[in-house]
Amino acid sequence: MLSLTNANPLTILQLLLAGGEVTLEVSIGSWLVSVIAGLLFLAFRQAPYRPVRWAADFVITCLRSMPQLVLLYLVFFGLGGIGININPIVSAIVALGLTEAGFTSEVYRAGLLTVSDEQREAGASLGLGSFQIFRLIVLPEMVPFLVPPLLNSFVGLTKAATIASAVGVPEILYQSTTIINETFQVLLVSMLVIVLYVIFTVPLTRLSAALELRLGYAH
Amino acid sequence: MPDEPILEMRGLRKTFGRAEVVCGVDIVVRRGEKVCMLGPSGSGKTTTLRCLNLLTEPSSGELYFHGQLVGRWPSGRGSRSAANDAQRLRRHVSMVFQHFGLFPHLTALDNVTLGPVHVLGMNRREAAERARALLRRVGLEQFAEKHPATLSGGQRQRVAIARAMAMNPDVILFDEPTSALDPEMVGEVLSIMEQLASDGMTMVIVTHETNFARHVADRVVVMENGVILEEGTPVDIFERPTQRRTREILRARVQA
Ligand SMILES: Nc1ncnc2c1ncn2[C@@H]1O[C@H](COP(=O)(O)OP(=O)(O)OP(=O)(O)O)[C@@H](O)[C@H]1O
Ligand SMILES: [Mg+2]
Repeated sequence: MLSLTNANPLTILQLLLAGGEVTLEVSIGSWLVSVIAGLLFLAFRQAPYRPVRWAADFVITCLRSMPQLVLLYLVFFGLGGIGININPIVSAIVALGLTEAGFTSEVYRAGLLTVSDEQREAGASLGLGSFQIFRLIVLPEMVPFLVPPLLNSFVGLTKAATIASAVGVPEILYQSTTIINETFQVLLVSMLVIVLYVIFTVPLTRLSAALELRLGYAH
Repeated sequence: MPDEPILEMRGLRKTFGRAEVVCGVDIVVRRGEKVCMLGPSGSGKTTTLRCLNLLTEPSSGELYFHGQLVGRWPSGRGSRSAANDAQRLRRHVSMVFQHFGLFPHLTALDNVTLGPVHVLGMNRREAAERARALLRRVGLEQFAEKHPATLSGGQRQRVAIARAMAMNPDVILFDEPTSALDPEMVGEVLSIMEQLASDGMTMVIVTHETNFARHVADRVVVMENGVILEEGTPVDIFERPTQRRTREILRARVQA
């Protein structure tokens, strides 16, 4: 680690940016996990077998009501305890991704409801099969609805990613704490972190709004 | 064979919950025939029509397509082969809906090519060429690249008719195709349908447009309370109905 005793703001910024990179890694990873696991959850929740649906509902409810940190400990120390060692970044990605997936599957479910039965019937009346109806009609029609909540969930994950510091992942909060401990530059470091977050998230929320407009062909 | 039956439904019954809304209807649709179905609201016209392409599953009855049994109910409901049979049937039996049912994320052209490309396996170039020709026939060639939201109701329904025609179906089912339209747009849709009728298309049309039924139908079917009250040529039904109820129902329609 660099000596920080008389650190200049530039060095601090560099360290924070390195942390930001890790934060980004964790949030992109966990977002991907949530987008895919959310689909699986949705599939299980709509499974034709009642016990499968119950199990899925139970798991999702647990995931959504559990503090993310607890799940992170469970994944990292719990699995470590039974001899499965996974690296801290991966455990953070899994823990955050799974928690988020409970939410994401709700988003998908609401998205499905935005496509009317009339649309499915119009597809069926052309002789399309149920998977074709999903792929050619339901999915493209629900995408405009999904984009904003999924982007927001990504923005949320960039903040939630800070809990990864609890298992020693050198993300932005971990870096800040280290710097503050060595330089006592609480205000400077905090301001820089805030600025970095704002610079990063504002374009994303803008993008979300713009996409929503562009993709919203219905009326 | 001009008299060859294309679709034949025997003993159709449909129950929703405890209410039986279609109670023993027989319908035969022959090649080239135009069948118009009239009847008061709630008489079971839509339900009957939707059973002809199995969008609604009959509670009991038998359905034949070109003399081949498609399904017999009651049967193992929702079985895989029943679903496949229904899907196969719908390649040949198109439908035009009251509320158009166009896909909002696709242009008019893509609405028309979707079925040919994904169901009939036609290549995109050929499908697009045919779709353009069909859009020209319904007078909408210049709207090919527009999305449905930018079209008027009459234009949307004409696209929906082109979409149904693109499947090269044996029959087209129409469920009140003009009921959701502003009055000034009814004419453009009816005239497309008349043109289609004179081209020899086999059509089953649920409608409240008695004038249209009078001069386009080969056969008029009058329904009430889930049964066919009376059925015959337009002259039979409109000039000399055998049932007093028929006369009352038609009179109510003409005044409405
Ligand atoms: N999916 C359904 N679930 C429950 N009841 C239904 C359903 N579809 C139709 N019905 C009922 O069945 C009866 C017949 O309906 P149907 O739509 O076939 O009548 P219709 O003759 O087409 O009437 P309209 O002229 O109003 O369109 C009505 O009482 C209706 O409420
Ligand atoms: Mg109806």
